[in-house]
Amino acid sequence: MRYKKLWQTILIVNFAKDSRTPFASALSRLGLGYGLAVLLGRLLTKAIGQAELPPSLPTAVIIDLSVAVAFILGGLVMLTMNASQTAKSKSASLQKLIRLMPLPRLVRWGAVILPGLITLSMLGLFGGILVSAAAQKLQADPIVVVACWLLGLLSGYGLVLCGWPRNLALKGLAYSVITTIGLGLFDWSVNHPTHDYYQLLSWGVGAIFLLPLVGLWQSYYQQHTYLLYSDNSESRQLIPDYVPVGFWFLVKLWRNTRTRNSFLLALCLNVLLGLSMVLRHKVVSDPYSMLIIGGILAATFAGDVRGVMRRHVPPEIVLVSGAKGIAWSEVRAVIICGFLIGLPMLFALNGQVDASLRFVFFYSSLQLFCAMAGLLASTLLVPGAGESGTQFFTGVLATSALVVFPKFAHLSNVAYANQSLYWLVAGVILGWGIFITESLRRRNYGRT
Amino acid sequence: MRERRRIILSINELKIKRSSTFQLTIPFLNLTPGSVTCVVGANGSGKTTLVEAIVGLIPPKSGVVKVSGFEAHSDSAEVRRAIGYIPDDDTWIIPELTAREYFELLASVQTNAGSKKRMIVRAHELAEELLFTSFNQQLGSLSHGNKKKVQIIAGLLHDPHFIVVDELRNGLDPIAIIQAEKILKRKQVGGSAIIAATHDLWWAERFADEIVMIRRGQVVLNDYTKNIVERSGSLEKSFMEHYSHAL
Repeated sequence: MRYKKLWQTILIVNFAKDSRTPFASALSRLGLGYGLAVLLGRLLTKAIGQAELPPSLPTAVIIDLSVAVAFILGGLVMLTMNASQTAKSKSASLQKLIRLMPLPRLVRWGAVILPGLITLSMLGLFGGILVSAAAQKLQADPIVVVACWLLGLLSGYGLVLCGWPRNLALKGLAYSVITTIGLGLFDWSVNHPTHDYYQLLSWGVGAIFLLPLVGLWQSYYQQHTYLLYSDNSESRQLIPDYVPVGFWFLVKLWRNTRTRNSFLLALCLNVLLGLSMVLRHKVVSDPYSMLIIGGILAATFAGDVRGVMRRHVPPEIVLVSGAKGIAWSEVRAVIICGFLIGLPMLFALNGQVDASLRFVFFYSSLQLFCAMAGLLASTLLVPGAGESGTQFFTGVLATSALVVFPKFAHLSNVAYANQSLYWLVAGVILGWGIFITESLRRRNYGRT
Repeated sequence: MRERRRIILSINELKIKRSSTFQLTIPFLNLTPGSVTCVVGANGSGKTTLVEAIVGLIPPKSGVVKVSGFEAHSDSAEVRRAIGYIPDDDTWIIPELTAREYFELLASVQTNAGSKKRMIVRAHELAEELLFTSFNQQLGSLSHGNKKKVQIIAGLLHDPHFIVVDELRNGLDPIAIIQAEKILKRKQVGGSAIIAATHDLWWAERFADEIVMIRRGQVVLNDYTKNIVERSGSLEKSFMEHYSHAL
């Protein structure tokens, strides 16, 4: 295979960090990722087996659901990962090198999209197991439903790859518009099953979610414009002098393109979700559980934070009284950002609960936990800009804490309103973990 | 009088906008086989921008950059095979790979430039000349100078007939500088065209047949080195004349 070395290098750059045997590390990490995907998929399949699903759902509805969920999930993951890429990142360096290689169009395109495809394939495997089980239970054709799931994921990636709009914020907006229109149409079609145009509407829902697949085609034919490298128009945003010195890390996060994009994307998504709930007068059965969306976004953002500094002994360490000073600055900044990210959903749901103060306390505890989980994952793995694999695993680690902790603390039988203290204590423990990790890393620096 | 020969690089009315305050404008530039041109200028004058436009990394806002008759920013394999690029940037390597693996990767994607084995042999020959021996060390752990040596070898292993160099001497030790110059001179004699961006005027005067001087994105001088030296006494004096406002 002529391009074997090239594919190996792409895997190494994206999935093997700080390793002396990079290719073996990349393979073992990918193996671990796929293994986890299968394991989680199989675990959740049992839950689907026990769940009470409507007995006679039309196949069109199942297909629409599969495409919609896949697009929403795939698009969110790829947008978040894309937000944290910069022109100076490691994978951008590889892209520059690839740009100068005499490669056929297909190989060049493959080299650009491969890391994203690998990440999506893990989601595809995990979700594929689940939707296949759900399709079987609902007596639909599992092959068709899984194919729709995969197409939905690819469509989410297509949105990120498409040439227009180029700006990531606009892509985020397009993502929200597609999701809102698609889900609105889906709601309407499900509620009007006897309407003359029901069948047409069902196809329409699928078509809306699959429209961004055009982005894949576009990226193939216009790839030279994607691979061009120009990082000089980056503008430096200045923070006013009245920001206190202790919040320097917040300033650093804002000035860093990667974390700023990541924060703005998470905030925008939550604002749009909150707005759509308010505008559609959506009443949810359990407003507490909806706050988890903000928590996931906060954890994903926090997962990017540690990567803005050097892994070992960042230069800032001399100014902020050692590793603990660094950790404390990060914790403060991440808590503030985490709280801001979740606020839109809090405002949107606040009118739907009786005990407003208790709701806010739950929100605060949850956001604290999620921010700390994300930061701890980030501190452990230190995902650099453009390291798709490490970013993905950090995100998975951060968000899976949200799933693992309630199981571990046996919270499934406790009402959400009474869980606040658990989340708060767990958040503080995770925060402590960040201090310990940074201190150990500082203490062991230079030892082999 | 310029010789009427095959043109390797041709630039016409090139404009590149890199920010709201900086635009590089190159009205005209042609390179023929066996020529050595140095692009000189102060920091931030646009030398690296020009180099990156020539190798096809930056699209022009207007105008044309052609290498061997093909647009430089196209994906044409002919352009990619024709160019040997030696950057002035440590990130132009893959830190996880060893030097050996890196050269093998580059050799595996070049097809028309001889067999892979021949290219690996060439890489070893170049390494020997540059006194580079760390073939089995990961590139990320190499010193700045050794990374530069790797970039020189990587840029030349496919035997390109157009070499684009950005700050050749940066990071190299005196012996490696002499050796690198020897390699480039040999390539020149063999018919390759060389364009080198540098802020080292002494080196440019000694090394180049032709000088392109840039100030704030504009070409302020484009002439043969001997003419410049005859007129101003040295390239440094000519440079100071054009940059006198900055003093």
